Amino acid sequence: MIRSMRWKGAAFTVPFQLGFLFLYLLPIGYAVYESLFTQKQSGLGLGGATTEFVGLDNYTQGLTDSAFVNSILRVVLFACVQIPLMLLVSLLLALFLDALTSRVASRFRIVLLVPYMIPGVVAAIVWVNLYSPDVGPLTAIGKSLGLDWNFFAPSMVWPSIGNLLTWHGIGYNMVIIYSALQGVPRELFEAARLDGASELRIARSIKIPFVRGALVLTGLLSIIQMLQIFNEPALFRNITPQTVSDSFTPIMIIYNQAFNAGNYNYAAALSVLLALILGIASFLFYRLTSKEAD
Amino acid sequence: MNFTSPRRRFASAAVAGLALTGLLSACGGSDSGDDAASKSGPVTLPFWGWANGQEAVVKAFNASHKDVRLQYTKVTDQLTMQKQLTNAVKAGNAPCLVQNTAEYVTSWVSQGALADITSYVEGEKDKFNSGAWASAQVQGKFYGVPTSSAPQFTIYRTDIFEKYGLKPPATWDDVIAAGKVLKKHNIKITNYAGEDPSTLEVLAMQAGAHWYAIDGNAWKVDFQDEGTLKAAKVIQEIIDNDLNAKLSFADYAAVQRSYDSGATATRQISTWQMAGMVQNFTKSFGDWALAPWPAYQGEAAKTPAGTNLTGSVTLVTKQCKDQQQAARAALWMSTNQDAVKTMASPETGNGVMPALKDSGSYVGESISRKLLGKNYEPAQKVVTDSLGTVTTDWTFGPNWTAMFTELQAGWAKVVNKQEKVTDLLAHMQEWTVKDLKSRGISVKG
Repeated sequence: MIRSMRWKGAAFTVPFQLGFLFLYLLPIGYAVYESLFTQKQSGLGLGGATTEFVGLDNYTQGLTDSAFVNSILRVVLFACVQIPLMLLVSLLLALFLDALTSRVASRFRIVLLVPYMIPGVVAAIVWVNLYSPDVGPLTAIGKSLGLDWNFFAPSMVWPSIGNLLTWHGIGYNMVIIYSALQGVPRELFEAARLDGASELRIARSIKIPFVRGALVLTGLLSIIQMLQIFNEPALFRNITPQTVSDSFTPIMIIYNQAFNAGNYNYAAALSVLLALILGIASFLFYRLTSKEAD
Repeated sequence: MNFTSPRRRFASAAVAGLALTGLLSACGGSDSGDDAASKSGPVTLPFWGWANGQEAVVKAFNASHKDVRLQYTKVTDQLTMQKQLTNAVKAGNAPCLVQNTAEYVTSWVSQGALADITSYVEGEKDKFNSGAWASAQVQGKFYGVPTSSAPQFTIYRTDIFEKYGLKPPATWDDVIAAGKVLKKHNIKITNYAGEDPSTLEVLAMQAGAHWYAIDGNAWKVDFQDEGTLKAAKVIQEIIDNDLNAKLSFADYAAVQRSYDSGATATRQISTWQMAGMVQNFTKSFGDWALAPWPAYQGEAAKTPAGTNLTGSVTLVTKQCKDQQQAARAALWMSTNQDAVKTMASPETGNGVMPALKDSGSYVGESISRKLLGKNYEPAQKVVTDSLGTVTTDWTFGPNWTAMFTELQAGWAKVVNKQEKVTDLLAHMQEWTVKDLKSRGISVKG
């Protein structure tokens, strides 16, 4: 009886299992398989290519490919600046919303979520137009304030992209942190107030420690997203191609190898490597942050 | 709460699971029906393209053919096409016919994606002009049918040129001289977008360069031949003297505004680019005129072969089961008078010049009277004449796409004066030879 019940229970997961198998495990397996081969041509190269097994050659090439390694370091460095900034703003906004009555808060919440509803590429194009020194309004605004800024200048690439990403990501992270805040038992606030704690003190000593989990989660998601950054730098590449090279971020290299250079197998190996690095980074981040919480 | 029985729930979960598997297997087996179709009933040929007007052409084709049907899918642009076609070829379900740009044909042949349709199309040679005809073949074998040819010329601001007493530039030296005069008045002679090294490519092509050539059973790579160096000298002089604007096409509105406001005075273009000018301009209508593509000092007129939209071809893929019908359909689209007319018009098509020998009659339609004003009539002759001077001996290499991406990276540095054109050429020489070797392709040079 119990045995059959267990099977019935498991049967409910069939749609998920199938989806997981076909849409997740199989593609990964296929990428790993592809990454063990290479395409070899001969003569003039006009007769198509033959596929050769090369073992882990693509991986050793990837790990020693300075362009690939540099792209990861570049993005990690950028992440160290942008993610804490974005999460800080999101946290402040969430605390602010939490202090409001729920009716007012829900209105603000929608407005702050609007940037997140805009697809990434569209957001990037919108900002490129805002930034444009020739037709964008920001240059004129800067001039009227006595600032001569150029968002397309090579030195401004990261600040410009960072601003775009922060604008895009704040709402989403704020909503997660905000809902975590909603879960904090209200009695605690009352008790704290009775003890004479200011609102600031309540936020610092009760609210923030309580949303640590949400901060870890949003941090983790942001790291994963950041290492896969593609749209924004790809668009900025058109504007300052001398700064944003075609190997600026790991995904740009992979894209370039697969679709421009036609090295599908090498692109597959780099994808697997990137996934591994992401996995390890996520694991370490999770370990480090959750240990502190204990 | 009204729960259904566990048994029912199990059944529905199982059904959902099965439905999902059905869905997935349906994705994989799209080509299973083709065999049956070729034996009875009309043959269906999938056709991918991105040009405006193709939909109407396909409709007309289907209306006039009983045994063959074209099934059209619109793709966003050349870049998307490269990506989607790569995937389709890899998955074994490539469409029969694809629109493509001449410069990528060799790359596709190199990947074994295209069908040799020489025997089906070579008899039609006389219908096409020589420049266009050369674009669909690699080493004498045909893989498609050209759909457009490449008239190229200078478009310039008559008001600015008159104001400063300049004549339309006949040679590249004239371009530089005019640029130096205009610079004093804060006007740029041309625009070099950092992401677009095609300026270097077309100037080298015009100067008789051969970046790739076939020598016996090996490729000969030469980015530093006499022609390329001649082109490099012109470009370097323009950049060193700050005669060029540096606007990116990603900031398209700014590019168009710079022409419209007179901040940039000339462009080397083909017919189709005029559509973008007409759509974005507000004040400079009628101030533009055409002049022949600048020649090199002391040389006869010669224009580069088409890149981008001006060198379009309809290719037949190797995975196509009905290659002969596909070749015929491609020929029909390039030669049928109504189809050609639809594509040549900037309103119903995209304003490209047909690949036909007698393209002269389409010139009037493909350029804008609004943009050129009183200069519209003489402009027609400039366009027609340029068709006869197109470079026909240029070869695109088997790793062209990868090479071009590498060239882009360096070109941006050249435009921003971080390196010289000759530095870039030396790098490209080394890089291209190395890349070809790593692919197992024989190379000299």
